[in-house]
Amino acid sequence: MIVEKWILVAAVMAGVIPLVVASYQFLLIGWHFRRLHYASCAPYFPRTAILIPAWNEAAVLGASIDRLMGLEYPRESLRVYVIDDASTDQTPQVVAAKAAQYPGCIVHLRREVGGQGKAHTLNHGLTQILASDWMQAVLIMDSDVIYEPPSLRLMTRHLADPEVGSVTAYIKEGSAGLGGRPPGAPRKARGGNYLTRFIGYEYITAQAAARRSQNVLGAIACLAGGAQLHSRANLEAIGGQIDTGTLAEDTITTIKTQLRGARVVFEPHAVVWAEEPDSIGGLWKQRLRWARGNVQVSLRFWRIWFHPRIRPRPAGGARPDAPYPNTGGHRLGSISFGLFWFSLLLQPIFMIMASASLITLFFIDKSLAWQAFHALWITNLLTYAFITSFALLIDPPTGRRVWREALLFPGAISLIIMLAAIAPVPLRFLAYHGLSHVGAYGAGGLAGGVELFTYVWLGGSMLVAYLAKLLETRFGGRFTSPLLIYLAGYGALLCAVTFAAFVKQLRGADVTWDKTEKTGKVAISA
Amino acid sequence: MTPTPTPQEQLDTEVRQAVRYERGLAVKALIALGIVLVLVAVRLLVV
Repeated sequence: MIVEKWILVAAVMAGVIPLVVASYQFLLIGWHFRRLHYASCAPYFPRTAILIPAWNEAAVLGASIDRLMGLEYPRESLRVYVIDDASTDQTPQVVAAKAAQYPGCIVHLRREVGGQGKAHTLNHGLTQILASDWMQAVLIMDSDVIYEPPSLRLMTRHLADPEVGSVTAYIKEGSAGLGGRPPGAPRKARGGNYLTRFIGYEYITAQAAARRSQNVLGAIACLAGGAQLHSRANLEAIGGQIDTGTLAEDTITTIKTQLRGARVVFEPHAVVWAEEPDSIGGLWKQRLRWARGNVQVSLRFWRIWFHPRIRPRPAGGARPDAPYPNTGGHRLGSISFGLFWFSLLLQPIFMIMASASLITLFFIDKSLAWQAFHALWITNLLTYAFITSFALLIDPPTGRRVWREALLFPGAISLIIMLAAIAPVPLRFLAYHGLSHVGAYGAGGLAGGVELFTYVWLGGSMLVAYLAKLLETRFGGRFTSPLLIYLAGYGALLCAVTFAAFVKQLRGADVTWDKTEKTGKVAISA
Repeated sequence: MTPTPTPQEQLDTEVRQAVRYERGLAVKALIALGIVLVLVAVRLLVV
């Protein structure tokens, strides 16, 4: 029985793995200044083809093209290719108007039969631009993305180093307000809604922070879909086409680039603004696609993970039986990178496992359950405090707008549980006075119920987040859904999506491309 | 009138600024660790 108890305690403590690994990832950022790629950079302005896959993007395309034409980059070295995936809105007219406005810079490529997804659309464009020798680099972006004027030249300078195959930028959530106040808005306007502010904070952690630490590690997980710059040599080396077999074509391209031995660089000072979903339904659709894609990537590249020794390429070329044609130079197989990848992907499993183990322990050894619970939540609080405070300091302008959502990222209830774990005496004092006031203090059943609730919560918060999704479009959803997300946490919502992706993958559900609708909300100061 | 910087001068300036920012992040990491230490101290004091 003792062995079983300690196995349960270990399962509870597995719940801290994602946050502990995330803290390790954040610690690496402190070393980023030692691993910058700038020493190999030079002013470099390759002839760049900008690829914009577009399906019914009339609302956002014009502004994006205008911003591209305003880039600090030689106009004669820029060509924008809009790959129109059989749009049925005004997209062709918008492109035609922009082609007339910027002669020789805008090319309209139309697919008459579309709807197969972004990768197919991109491949249509790639085939055409690779057929001519004009292009020296290609920038793949999304139609809603707004590039800050210096961003492209900050990225291309890394391509001056022939070892670099691809470069990505810092994507920031740009729905009204985050990129600057909309004209006429009050000075203190926060812009966007609660969900876009959560995403704004999430992108500090997932983009500005995580990708810096991946720079330090020498392995980048994914080029941002809205900002991926490739040298022509790299594009040709990976086959000149984007993978169409998964929902994670960006990640596949990133991994293929590194597997062939080329370096991928994240340039944190090249800033790009993107429109993100402002409803749970929209976010769920987008993130389900991403999470399912990550599950597919994990399975497809299973030989890489936790295999640091597969790096060197044998002299004279790869062995015929080598798992990949070239495995030199990258650190995708490092233990650290494997931990980053899987701790995030498996986070919902860890949460459910921790909750289930706590509940089991509660019924067989209450004292041990209580101790395990404290250890779990105190560790969670310490890692949360480190990650949140550091993230807000990494990008102070965004941090000032989203600090409330940063604090409530794990949810108000988890926050109270963490505070109760670290400072039980003051909270017990408050609970005593509060419950005495209503005459409930001293009820043994109530105390046991509260204890059990806190044990269930780590996994149960995902259910509450899922409930927020279900209620969003029903009566009162406009009020109850945000409330539930603030209570359960945006993190719990992301975990629920990942869990749903596992379920879909296990059920062998169809792999379909559900496009995220864009409406032109990105508003940044000119 | 200020002369327009050459691409190399512009790169040097921007790289200097970027490196300074990245060095600052190391200091910020220490500040965040300091917050964690405060929490540990709180825990030790209130129990």
